[in-house]
Amino acid sequence: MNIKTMLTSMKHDASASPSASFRANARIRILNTVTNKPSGKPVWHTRPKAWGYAVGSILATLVLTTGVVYAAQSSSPNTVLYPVKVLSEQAALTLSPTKSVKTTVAATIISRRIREVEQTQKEGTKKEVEQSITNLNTEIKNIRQLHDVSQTVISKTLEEHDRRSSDHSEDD
Amino acid sequence: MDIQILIHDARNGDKNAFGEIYDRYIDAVYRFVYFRIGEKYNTEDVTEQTFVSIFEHIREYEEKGLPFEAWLFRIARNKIIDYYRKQKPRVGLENIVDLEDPKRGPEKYTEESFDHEHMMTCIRQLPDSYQEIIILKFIEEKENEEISVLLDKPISHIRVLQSRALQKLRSIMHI
Repeated sequence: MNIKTMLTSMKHDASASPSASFRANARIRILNTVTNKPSGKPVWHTRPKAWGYAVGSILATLVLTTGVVYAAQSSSPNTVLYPVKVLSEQAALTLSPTKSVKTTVAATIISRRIREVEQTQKEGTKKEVEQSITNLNTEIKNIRQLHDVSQTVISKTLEEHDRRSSDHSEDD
Repeated sequence: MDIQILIHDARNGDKNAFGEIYDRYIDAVYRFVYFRIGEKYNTEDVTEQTFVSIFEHIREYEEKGLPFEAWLFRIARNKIIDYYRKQKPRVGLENIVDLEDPKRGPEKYTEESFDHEHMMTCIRQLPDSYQEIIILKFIEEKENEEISVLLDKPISHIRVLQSRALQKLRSIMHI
């Protein structure tokens, strides 16, 4: 194989592509960073404005804000605030205005369910683990049925987590 | 949507336009950073810093012979330079006495045994300017005219750099 062919083939190396979770989470962080500048002047507007404010506030509850909804974002299954967390996620998903935003929100929700499984595997009872796995499978099934979410991105999110899990188990 | 329209909308603070620009260029920027840095978590950091910087300075971008993608890659280059400035000094190629790996003779580089990881290690042993040329020309498959604009060097210089970079890489890989 000549060296130029070797080099060209590296473009498609899996490690040279951003993971689905990084792609989705970085997008949220970058857009929040750029559009929340304390310049005294609103930077962000979408068309139409009222819709943009409604979506912005719903999406903001998924990632940040104060109060019960914010406190709920880090809650685990079987805690009092967990239903609040799930409700806020579903609201964000329903009210996402574009396929791109909806896909980002869906991928974030799946990543959260996976983290909950990992957390209960470390710290929870067998029943809690089973419940978190059921929650994950239910979420995947629901999101797979959405026609306005990129299923390719969702598959990549799941593959990335599978890959990381097998990397961790090889380290054990 | 045309990139110029997206840039115009992003300049006016349209968050969806920012998102579209991110979606279009995230793969290319990530790859460029990854092949220069080679480690996943730092690549993610630098990639993210690059996009924040792109969006913070998008109002300063003016086409005037500089395509948007070239401007974007220049920002990525600057972030990579900043990253390395904060690291410990790297060993330059001239300080490496012997790069030979006795397990890898020329006959090992068959299609079956080609190892991306090893190639990345070899690329990162090149001087920075050679690494950039290798990545932009042979991995990203950009035209010389694009590279010339991106690196702000004459096309004739780009051709010379390509030839020297390949020669040096072959020498490191013993092929």
